[in-house]
Amino acid sequence: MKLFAPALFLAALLTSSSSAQTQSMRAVGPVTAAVRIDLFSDFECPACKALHEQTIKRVKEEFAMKGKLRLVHHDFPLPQHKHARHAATLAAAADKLGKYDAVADALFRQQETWSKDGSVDAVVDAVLTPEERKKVREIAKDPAILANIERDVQLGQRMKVSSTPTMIVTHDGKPNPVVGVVSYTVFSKYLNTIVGP
Amino acid sequence: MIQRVALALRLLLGAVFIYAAYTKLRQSWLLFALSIDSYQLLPEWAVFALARTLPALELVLGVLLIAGVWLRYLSIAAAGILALFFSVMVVSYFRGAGIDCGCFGVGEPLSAKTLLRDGILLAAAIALVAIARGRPNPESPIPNP
Repeated sequence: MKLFAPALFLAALLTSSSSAQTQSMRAVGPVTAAVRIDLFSDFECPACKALHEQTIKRVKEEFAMKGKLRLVHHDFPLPQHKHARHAATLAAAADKLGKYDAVADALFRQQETWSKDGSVDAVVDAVLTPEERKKVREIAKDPAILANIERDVQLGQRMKVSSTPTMIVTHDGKPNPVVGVVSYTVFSKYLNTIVGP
Repeated sequence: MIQRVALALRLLLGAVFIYAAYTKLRQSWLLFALSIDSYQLLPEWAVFALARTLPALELVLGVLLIAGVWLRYLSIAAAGILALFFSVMVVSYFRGAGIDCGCFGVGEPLSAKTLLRDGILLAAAIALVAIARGRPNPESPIPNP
């Protein structure tokens, strides 16, 4: 737990500088928000799919996009998931074109298919135009994309993330880990008590 | 000798229940609700009800165990609660749920270590039940032989 504070400071620094350059959908909400959620997720993990579809999408819409908190997505592909890193690479590349949400939704929606047959590219292609596909492939080759994923993983390890999904909810400088799938009803009730009016 | 063992067991269990209650009561009850919710076993109304009441129940149980009153009944209650916790944790662990234990506040993953700890506490509670049942019941009208 003692490692959380410097790790969160580093995370804030990294995400604020990257969001200044692009309109990233991986970090939504004001940098100055009193509440920050660092979500560590793996596209190939079934619990991450459940959390994304049941809870995170609504938290993004109802809290982050309304400026009540800052939600930052971090990739944490687990070693036992052989296609997770490739999926994260394509999603990060799509983010550069403003297509992160569409690609992330598609990856989670069809997780059962591509996690078995490895058809990650096909799933991503289905939500992109031919031009975007070409650009995403180009961007995905950039070593900086993989380096960012690696940086996310290292950040998670410093924050003692041991499984996915893990959300670190920081409020008043105090980080509280929320591990596993939680329902929107319970999570939003908690968030409403800390985000203020 | 048996009485010393009983004293040690009820002090141990009482302290553990009081500490468990303290770790939950010092933080927002909704954080504990999130821990319960992550087990994905209860409907939302039950999650809220349990998160509101369980820490107080643990506190009362801990204090009464240390006080040594109604030991026959309280030892059964302690064993029952620990058996419930243990079975839920075992099911979740073997289901592969990467979640927090929620036993002593937030930030402790459900692991083989937490299962072992809860198993030892359950065994202690069962031993206390056995000892308490063997003691003469002061409330019974029938004198013990």
